[in-house]
Amino acid sequence: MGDRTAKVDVAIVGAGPAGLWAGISASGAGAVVSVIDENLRPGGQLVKQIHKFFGSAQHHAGQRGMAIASGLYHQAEAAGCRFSLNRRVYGVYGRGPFRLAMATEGGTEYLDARSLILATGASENALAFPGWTLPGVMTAGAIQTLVNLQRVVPGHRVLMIGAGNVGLIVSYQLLLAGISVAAVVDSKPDVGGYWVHAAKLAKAGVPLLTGHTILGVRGEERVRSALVKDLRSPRQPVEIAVDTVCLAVGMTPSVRLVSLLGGHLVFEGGKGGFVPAGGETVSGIPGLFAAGDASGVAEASIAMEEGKMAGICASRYLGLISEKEEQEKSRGIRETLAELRQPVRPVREEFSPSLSLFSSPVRRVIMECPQEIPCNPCEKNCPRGAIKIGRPITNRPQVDHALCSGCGNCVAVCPGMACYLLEYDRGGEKAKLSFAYEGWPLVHRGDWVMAVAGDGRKLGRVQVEKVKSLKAYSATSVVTVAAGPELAPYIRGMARGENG
Amino acid sequence: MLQHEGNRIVHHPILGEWKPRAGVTIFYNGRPILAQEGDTIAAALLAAGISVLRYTKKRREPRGIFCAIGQCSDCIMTVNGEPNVRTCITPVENGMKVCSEESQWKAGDDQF
Repeated sequence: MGDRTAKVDVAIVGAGPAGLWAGISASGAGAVVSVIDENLRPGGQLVKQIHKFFGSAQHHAGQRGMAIASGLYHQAEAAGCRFSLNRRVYGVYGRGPFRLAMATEGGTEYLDARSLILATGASENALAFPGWTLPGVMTAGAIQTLVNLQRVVPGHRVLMIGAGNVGLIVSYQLLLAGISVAAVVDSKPDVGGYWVHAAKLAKAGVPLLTGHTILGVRGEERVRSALVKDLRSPRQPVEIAVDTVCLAVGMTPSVRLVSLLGGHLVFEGGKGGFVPAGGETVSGIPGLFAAGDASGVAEASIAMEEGKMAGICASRYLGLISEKEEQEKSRGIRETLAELRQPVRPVREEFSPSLSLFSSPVRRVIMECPQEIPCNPCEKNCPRGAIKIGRPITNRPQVDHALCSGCGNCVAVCPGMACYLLEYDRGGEKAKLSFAYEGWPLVHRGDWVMAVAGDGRKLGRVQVEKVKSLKAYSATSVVTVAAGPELAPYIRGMARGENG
Repeated sequence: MLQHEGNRIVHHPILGEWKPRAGVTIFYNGRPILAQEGDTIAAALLAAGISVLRYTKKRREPRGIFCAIGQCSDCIMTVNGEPNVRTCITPVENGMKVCSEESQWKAGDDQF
């Protein structure tokens, strides 16, 4: 065994956003790094994320998850990381060095590492209700794998359980794939995910049933319907005809390797369950570090920063950087993390922009961005500097309408699809509204489409005046429709599949 | 216009048009199923309209895809004679024999 055991400075378990950044960071300091993942391709869950990410440019905001995955992988490879894919770490023996046992198709392989970074991610929670084991009940990750990677229809009408970001995003991904979402159900009184994610569904007419719960599903060989109860009403539950129930009910950090090493775990409900004590430096075990969802479930941008931090900690542990260098490198990361970890408060009141703003002749950017979330692609992509967010990144965007040239970049790059451009002609008799559109089939100039309001209400048929699809917009189009001046301010999109 | 052909998502606004890959044939309980290279067994069966992958031994309850990443074991089947294969992460191969576990049961298997 001894001869066949490879030796590295740093072993990283998990090639998701945290593991890849840990690799880039440790390799950059001169460490010999091996990144191990049980999957055939690196990127973790990013590979099935087809929506545009939030955050800042340094976290690839505005890029789709799948593109971020390949970008980070190439960056890690260029930095010198070696990848051991299709290998599952099932054991860690000893602490100095850490000896990893990896299951491969050909048997066990061993790897000795002086330092170990666990970026093992999280596993999805299940929810038990009568019938939950029936085929057709599956996790949000399963839906994403089937729809976005395997391109197979998991079902034709889906009930989503969970209105956190995962439930909202996967619901939107289902719509993109031409699969209908009957409703999103969450027992909490508010939508837990970002308001803008919920707004995309509202525009598509998907009911967001907060304060509701699933009582069970019916069906013999497959889900045929689900029973949903309004928790605030004495009324009987309603039966909703669906063939699929998707569970997006949170995640639990995958900390089994920490346990295996005898690491101390503490329960933190806000982080998804038991997490290693001590944060990125797992307390009590020198040379062991944790990053990403394994150290607390959060957004991918946070995982990336934690990965960088773990890489720096490992480099310091190995003596590759000085204490001073460690402090310099980690200061900025700590500041960014503090900004990103700001709790996001739900938007309670009905949000609508003041329409008194809109007098003619005028061009207005409407930003339906009522929540303090860490995101700034609109600011970064405005060529005129008309949009200000500044720091902290959770500030809401402020628009200087006089500076706006009407280019539509903000409309296209906003990951929330929450920017709109409203323009009146000089006489104030004609108006047009531009919105972001991701749908199939594409629309063309001259098409008549059904305009919808923010709540999905059909406003009437309007004609498409312009469709702007730049490569930089990454499959999002900016669609401009002509409408009367009374109607235009209310248009937020178009009904899917009703053009032509 | 439909985005789907059968259970395959062929038109997608972000992922683009589906490019069919080389066809492979697998045998589900002896019945030939046309799949595509790169499909997992479970996805190929779902594409063919099969969502029940097995029945539990004791209570004979149907099970299908649940996690699709090889964690939950709901999708296990007997593949080329090997039992308990996680079909959601195992790619199809031409001529593969995929059997639901109950087809392998012997009399009395549920008496435990």
